[in-house]
Amino acid sequence: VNAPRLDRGEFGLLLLGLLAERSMYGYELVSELRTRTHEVIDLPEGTVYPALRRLEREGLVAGRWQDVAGAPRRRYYDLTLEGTRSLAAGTTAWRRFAAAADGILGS
Amino acid sequence: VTPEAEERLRSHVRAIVDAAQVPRTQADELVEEMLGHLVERVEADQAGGADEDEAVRSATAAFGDVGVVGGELGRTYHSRLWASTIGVLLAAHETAERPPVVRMIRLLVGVTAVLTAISIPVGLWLQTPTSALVGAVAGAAFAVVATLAYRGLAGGQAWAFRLSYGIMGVLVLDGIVTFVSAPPATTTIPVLGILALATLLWSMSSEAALHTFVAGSRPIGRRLGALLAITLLAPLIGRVLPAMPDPTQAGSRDVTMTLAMDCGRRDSAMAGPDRQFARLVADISFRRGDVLPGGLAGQLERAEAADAVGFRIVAPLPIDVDAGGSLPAWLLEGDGVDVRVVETGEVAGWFGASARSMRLLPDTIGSFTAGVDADRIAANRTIRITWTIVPMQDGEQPWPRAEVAYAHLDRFLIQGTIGCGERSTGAPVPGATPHDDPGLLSG
Repeated sequence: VNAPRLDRGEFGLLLLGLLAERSMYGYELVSELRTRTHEVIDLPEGTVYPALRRLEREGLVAGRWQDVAGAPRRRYYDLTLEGTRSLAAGTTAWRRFAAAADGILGS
Repeated sequence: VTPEAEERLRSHVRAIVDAAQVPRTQADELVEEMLGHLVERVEADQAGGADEDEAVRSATAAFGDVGVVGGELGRTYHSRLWASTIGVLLAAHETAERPPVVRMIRLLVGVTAVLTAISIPVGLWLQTPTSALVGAVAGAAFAVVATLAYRGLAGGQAWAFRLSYGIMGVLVLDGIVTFVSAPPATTTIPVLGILALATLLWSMSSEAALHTFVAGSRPIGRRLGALLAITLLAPLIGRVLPAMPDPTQAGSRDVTMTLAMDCGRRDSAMAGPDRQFARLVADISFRRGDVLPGGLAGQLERAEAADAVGFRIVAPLPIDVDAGGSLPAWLLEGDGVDVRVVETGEVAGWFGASARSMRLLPDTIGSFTAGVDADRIAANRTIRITWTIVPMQDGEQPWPRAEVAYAHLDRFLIQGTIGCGERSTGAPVPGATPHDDPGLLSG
């Protein structure tokens, strides 16, 4: 049996979850994801950008450039109202799914 | 981060964006964003004690393979169909140095794509509707695939090389057919075919270098591979189409030729009283007409689209004349031909014919011809051609027997014979092909 894999939708949901806490840029999101999941979720770092572009196109996040002293400017992402709604719905669905899986696999 | 290191990072990011074919308006910002990520990552690694070279390698490796990230990005910017076709075919990968023969293969494939693309509007302009559409679809598919192969060759895609060998094989075969089927007394040099053959031989001698060049290429799957292989048949369709019946065009079974000949005597103002004459009537009935018989171009030269009809006297035999040669025993009375639509009575043609259809009439029929206006030909209509003929010599002459031929464009020929007081029906002539010059009168 293969190890569980994160699909695009779930990856997007995790990004929305992180952005619900504060505005972040790509590198920061990857670092947070790795740290907060104890490196269980360790995708190629570059894949965060296609995911962010998808969320931005769907209107769930909004990107904005911000200058940084002594470093390249960064593109920060904020959760939109639509993103907040999507996060709530996604979280509920995920919890139900996880609980159902736990019902068989045990928690 | 040194400028050299930054350049290495930028090149990795640029390769990802290129692989995804991100729209130009967004590509620069995306490169800047991802480059910022890598720079920060390298600086973090350097702060942890890594040297710059090691940090750059580690950062690009952690960022992800060009093909993986580029593919994911491509799916974001393009449709699912694009991702499963173009995205797969042109997935980026690391390549070895490009062998020189690749440039020649690309040139040939590129020229083929351009020539095929040019042939599409030409075919749409010149051919009949079904042939034009089928030819355009086949041509477009081939041009698109050849263009993809052109791009795939640059990226070291193994499928692009296999397909290019197929295209070059088609060019060689086409060159052979062109050379062999050249009209008598002419020589056609198939330049593309010769270049393709030379390039194939060059490729065979560079096989090892080519193998290394495409080593990192990913398989594209059976379905896509089969689809690409099928498009190699497109040039064959272009060759075969002119010989295939087009359902939008009338065939010989859609046209009936009924012949009648009435013979008698009458007073003639020119030749005197009680003179022999014969009235030869050919009724051409169409069960259906043609849709754009000469293609869109034919709309500009309607006279060329005319049908041709003619007859010759098969009995009595021609009469030798003093100056040499011979003349038919029976001749047209004046310009004695009348061409009309039976149902409406309107004039539908003229004496003599100069249309392309003349080339399909047997060369024994030349002077006693009439042209039938293409605009008068329609489904459920009958065109009646009436010739009045009289004996060439004075005195009682044997009654005539005639052979009548009707050519619809340069597509099919119907022929029949008729004598005095008879009624007959013409029959299609199998295998009738246009000849170079319309023949002259022969009795």
